[in-house]
Amino acid sequence: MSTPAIQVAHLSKSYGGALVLDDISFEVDQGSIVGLVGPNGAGKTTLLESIEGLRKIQTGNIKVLGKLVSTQYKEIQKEIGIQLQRTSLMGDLTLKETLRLFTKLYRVKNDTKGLLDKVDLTEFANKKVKHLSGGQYQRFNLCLAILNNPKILFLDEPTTGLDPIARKKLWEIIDDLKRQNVTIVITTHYMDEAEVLCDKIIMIYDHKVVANDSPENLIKQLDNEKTITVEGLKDLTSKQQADLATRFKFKYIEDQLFIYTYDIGAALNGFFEWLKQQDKEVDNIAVRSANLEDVFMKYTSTKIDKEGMLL
Amino acid sequence: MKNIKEIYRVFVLIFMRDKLNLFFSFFFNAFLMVMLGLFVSDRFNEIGTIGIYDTLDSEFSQQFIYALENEPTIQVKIYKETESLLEDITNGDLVAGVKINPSFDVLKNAAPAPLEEGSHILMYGNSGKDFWLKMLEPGLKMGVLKTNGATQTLLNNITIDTEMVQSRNVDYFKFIFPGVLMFSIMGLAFTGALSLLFFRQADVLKRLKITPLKKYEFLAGFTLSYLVLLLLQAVLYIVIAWLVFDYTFTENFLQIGVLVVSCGLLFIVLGVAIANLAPTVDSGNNIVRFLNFPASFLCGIFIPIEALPKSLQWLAQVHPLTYFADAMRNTANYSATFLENKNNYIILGVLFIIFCLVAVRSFKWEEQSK
Repeated sequence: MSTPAIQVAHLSKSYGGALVLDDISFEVDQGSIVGLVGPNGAGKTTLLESIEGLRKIQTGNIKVLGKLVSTQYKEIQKEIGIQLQRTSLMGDLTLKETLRLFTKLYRVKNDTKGLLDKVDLTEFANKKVKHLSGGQYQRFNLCLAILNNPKILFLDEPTTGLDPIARKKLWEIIDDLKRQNVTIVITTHYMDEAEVLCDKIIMIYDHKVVANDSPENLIKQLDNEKTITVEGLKDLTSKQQADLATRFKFKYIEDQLFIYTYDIGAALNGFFEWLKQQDKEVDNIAVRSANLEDVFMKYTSTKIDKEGMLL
Repeated sequence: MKNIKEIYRVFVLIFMRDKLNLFFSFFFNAFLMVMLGLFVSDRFNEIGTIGIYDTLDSEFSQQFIYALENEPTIQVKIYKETESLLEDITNGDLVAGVKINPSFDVLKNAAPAPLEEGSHILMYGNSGKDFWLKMLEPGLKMGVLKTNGATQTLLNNITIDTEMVQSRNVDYFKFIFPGVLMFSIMGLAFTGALSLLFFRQADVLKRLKITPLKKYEFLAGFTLSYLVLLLLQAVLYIVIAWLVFDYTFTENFLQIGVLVVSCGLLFIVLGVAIANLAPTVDSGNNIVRFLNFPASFLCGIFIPIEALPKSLQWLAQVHPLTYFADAMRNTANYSATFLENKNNYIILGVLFIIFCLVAVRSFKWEEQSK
């Protein structure tokens, strides 16, 4: 059995007394794509940057390709590629000049055309970085992250803010890298993205790992539930939500109601009856199979419940 | 070394592509310097005083002195000996001294025979007033012409020898130029260093941090880039001063080069230290403004420090630019040697070490080091 690409053991970290990572442990197999998902402020970026060697490790340890990040960072650095969440490049340099700079810094052969080909930006070689669109900019960042032919690639929210076409294009490139046996660790807010791209999902909530499995298994753990999504259900009172809780397993977020059920017919009939009783109206009702978004809501709602919101 | 070269190259490229920055750093100050030089320079509004020592005391030489006294742009002061004449030139009271030699009287003839040796007039020139000297020589010849009442052909037969006398005064442009040069170098060095704050805030430096680039390589490359840029700036200013004001340095080029480089280095490292310690771009700009603005009137750039109120003079001693401006002025205008500037160099050396340590130790790739 090959050495895991990444081993994180009992990692904890705090900033100014506030806990950011709480006893995190997991492993990532070589050649797999792992998604770190969780709400904002859960600690995803801190975890990722700790693995990348950008943050000091306070408690626990991290091994990348069998080497300790805390002591062998310089050796690890050559084997990894990083795309930061909020990266700015020198906007007045052209793509070609930026690539030249980074290839020189990494001491790799400068094959500008080949690198830009990989991310479909060849025609923009002489364009200034500041003139790239959002999608082109993210692809170029990815291009810089892979120019040293890394064994492990870290992508921190690479598709945030991109339009669907640009996202799909980036997915294709990531998929292509996976075929070349590159291990990829990706953080994302998009559950569909995590479901499509990742072999394994590590869900971080409240600074802890709350789920760690393949997307399929995580969805299965919901007992093959179906989800009824109700849109436009405005101003539910606590009493109404308590009443609903006696009938369904549900979650209510910003005028949207998610009902989790095995029996679609019974659930729909029951819901319509309840609507009539409450004299309420809705904009739209949709039924779908359970997905990673439901898994995400399941795990994150545990805490929301404790804080006073109804399940 | 390769990484240093790459970082150097990138920062020069970025600077050169920012046309507005280029204009304000290179040309705007040069333009101001020229305007100031042209409008404030004493060559346009000062009546020059010349001293005359008449060794002959003849009727013809007295008529010549009378003709000079009637020139509206010249004031004449009579001397009875060479020593006091030279002393007043050295003190800066005279733009030149004129010694009428015994052979002067032959010029009363319409066609005097050429002199076999010596000259009719010996002119002692104030080294700080070379512009005046260029005007004075034809002026003296015209004075002889008026006295003689002869034709233009006499002009070629008048011989004037010139000896330069080192004086303590210089014309205003000569006074401001070395200071303006140092002041502009400081400005460019600060501009460059502050760009680090922007690059750090925008996470550009964080992106570089995750490459194998080392901190010292980055700092060395960055410093080198701005050092080259400010050398270019210095050359540009010197060429403009030479073309517009006929300003030439003394032959002490080595020390002038050393001063330009050390001034650039010191203010780059000071700027980097400020960029490291200032929490935001705005606060960094304000700290630099705090150093920049008073420097123009405190550090002897446009106003001599001696002309400041006593209470402000001590403040000038705190600013490193004072020492650079002083050393450059001494070197450029008075040919001061390294040894004569040693006090300036010692103070600046100590400051450089302090700023360098702060800049390197406080350098961070990210806004918050976690």
